[in-house]
Amino acid sequence: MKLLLLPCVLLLAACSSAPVQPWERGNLARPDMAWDTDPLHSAMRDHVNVSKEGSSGGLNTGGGGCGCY
Amino acid sequence: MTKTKKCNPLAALTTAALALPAISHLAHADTAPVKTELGYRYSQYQEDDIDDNKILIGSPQRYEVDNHAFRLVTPLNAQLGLTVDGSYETMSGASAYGVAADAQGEPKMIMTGASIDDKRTDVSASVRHYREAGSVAFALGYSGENDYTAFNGSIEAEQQSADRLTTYSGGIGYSSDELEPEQTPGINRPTSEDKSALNAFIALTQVMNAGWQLQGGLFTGMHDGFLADAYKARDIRPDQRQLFGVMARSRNFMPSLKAALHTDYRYYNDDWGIQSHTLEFAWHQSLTQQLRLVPLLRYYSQSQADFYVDSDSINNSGYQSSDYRMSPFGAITYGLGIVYEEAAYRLVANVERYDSDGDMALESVDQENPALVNYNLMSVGVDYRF
Amino acid sequence: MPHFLSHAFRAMGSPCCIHLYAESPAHGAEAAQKIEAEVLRLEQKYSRYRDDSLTAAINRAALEAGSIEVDSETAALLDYAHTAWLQSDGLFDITSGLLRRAWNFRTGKIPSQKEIDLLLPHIGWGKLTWHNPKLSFTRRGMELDFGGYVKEYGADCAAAVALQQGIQHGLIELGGDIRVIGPHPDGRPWSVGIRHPRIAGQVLAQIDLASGAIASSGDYERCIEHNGQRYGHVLNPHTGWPVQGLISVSVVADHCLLAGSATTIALLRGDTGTDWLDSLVLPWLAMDMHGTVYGTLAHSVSSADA
Repeated sequence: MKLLLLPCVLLLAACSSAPVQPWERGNLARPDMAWDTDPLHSAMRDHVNVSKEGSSGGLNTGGGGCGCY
Repeated sequence: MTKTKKCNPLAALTTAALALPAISHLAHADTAPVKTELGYRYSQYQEDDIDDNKILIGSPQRYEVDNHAFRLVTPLNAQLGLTVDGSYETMSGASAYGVAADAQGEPKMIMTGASIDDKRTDVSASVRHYREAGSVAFALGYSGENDYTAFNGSIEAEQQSADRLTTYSGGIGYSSDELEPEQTPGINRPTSEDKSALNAFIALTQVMNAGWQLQGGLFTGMHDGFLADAYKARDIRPDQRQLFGVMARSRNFMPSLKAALHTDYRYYNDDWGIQSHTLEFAWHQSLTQQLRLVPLLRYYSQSQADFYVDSDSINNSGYQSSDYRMSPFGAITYGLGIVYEEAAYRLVANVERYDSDGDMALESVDQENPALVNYNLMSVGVDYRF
Repeated sequence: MPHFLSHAFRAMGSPCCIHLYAESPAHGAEAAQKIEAEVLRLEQKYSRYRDDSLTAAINRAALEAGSIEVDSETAALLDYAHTAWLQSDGLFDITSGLLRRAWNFRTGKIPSQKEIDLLLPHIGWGKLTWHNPKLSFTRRGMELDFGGYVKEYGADCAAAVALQQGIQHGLIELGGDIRVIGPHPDGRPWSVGIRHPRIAGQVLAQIDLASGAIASSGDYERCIEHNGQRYGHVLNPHTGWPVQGLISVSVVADHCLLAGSATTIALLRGDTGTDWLDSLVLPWLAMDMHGTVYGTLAHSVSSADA
């Protein structure tokens, strides 16, 4: 299984437009596959929903706070 | 090639490969952070004015909130990760004082005359210790408003099975809150009240294949103490509330569409008589390597609490509340998010519209609460990794 | 400014090379040393040439139809072998190494059918019992060989170690199988050449990889030419004879392990290998014995050959 790796060519390779992207880690590890893709935003959303609706709780231990707008 | 009963060979091989430590380490996000990440979100929450014809006394203007939230995630060493969250928000607007029947017997709002202004500061920190196939996290938090102080702490743990495809997780949290309502001359309010909440959950996460994982779990909570609304004229509730819920979530990536479908369902039930269903779909559509569009749809429906009343009455004895949160209603949220992600930073923007209505409830509602809210929530933010 | 470092070493019977960008020369040297140590760990653990390896311990149990309990990493590798065996209709078989007793590619002798027939009863993944963590052999004289996929797995392990060391830009090459840690610091992909299976020193195709892995396999590695017929080293475990069909296959996947087993299974499938590769929906390139090039990467083939 001998591939010819061309390190010199690699370093000088003409500028490709391929974007900088994090190394692939399989689709499950994609940022858009996370259980919570934006924890900061969902904290705000959850806070609003808990304070406006009669139910609360989920698969987390939640924080405190009144949340009674 | 002949069709066989086997599923996609790539999916089968990838699923088997995910059981290998070196590969699952990369595939599962739950490893100690390697980089430091700083995040900031500015959110603006704005409730619609109440229809004039639903108000008996007071201003139609309701709440608006400006929220600044910060987050720091950083590795402490190869096994320890630290997360610090902080948020600061200012709230202003009129609050509902109560609901009274008008001359025709229709329930109408009584709003507090003066605009309430308040500030809330929230800080929490959590340390997570990562081991080969699991992690344990400890968190402490504080939340303070002019009239409200809360401390909370929690422990969460998760463990992967030997084949790394199943993750068991669970946690328990406790919060101790103190309420010191602002006093308004002429209105009789409690001066100092306590409440506490104990919450716990267990969950199971299963990797179905390389592009699909499912999570299911149960949660429960026990709230104790002063659970009523101190600012309402007549709001008398039990001093205990036990809740129980079931949650199911799915994350499904479709390579051909370059899209991920997120589905979340929650069933909730408590001993005040409220049952609710929440169903949420989010579609994460990658447009380019960096750009992602995320439309979102959420449906919520709840039944009323046993002691819910259409309008306040001093003739009633025992528990009663005319709070719209205790009333039967349904709500729909439409949202759109946009994410621009580079290796070193991420820009995000979200808009959301929430409409609630008695007619949107799963069960028919005879008398809709006049205080049901409709709101817009918009937020912009940036995350920076270094 | 990131420091570029290349580090070459030998492991698993092949030349290996690490290319990476580090924060400092010392950081790079430390990372390279840890990456090499990880590859050597796997070589020691799974080499069939070492008496102290786990493979040797398993094969001692196999010799006397005994059983052995294995650690979780090995268990996951056995689970993977089982899946690959199922997905290849029994062609990917880690018990088929026994056929090397008949096929010696160094001497170039073609074995007789009788020699092969003596070995075939001792070959077949389905003939042993695997219940994690216990592997039991019910007949004497079988043999396990992880050589068919542990090098590719090693490239993934090496990349995991690199990431743990804070290396985000680099590439790992283990005997021609390549796993990208991450693109060049400015985001440019690595440019990887695929060797021409018949013309020595010539590049068949050049492929840009910013992430993921590429593995190649073909009959140019080891083969016997006899009476004008080429006998490749990829042996069908059902017949004991080399497969005919494709002479070179390269597959790009997220993980080197997947890329490697995909190339092996495609070669084992012979004439239907290209159909099977199509069904994977992974980028691939193959050449048959007439020199015809197939696959979704065929456009990358150097113009001289196209």
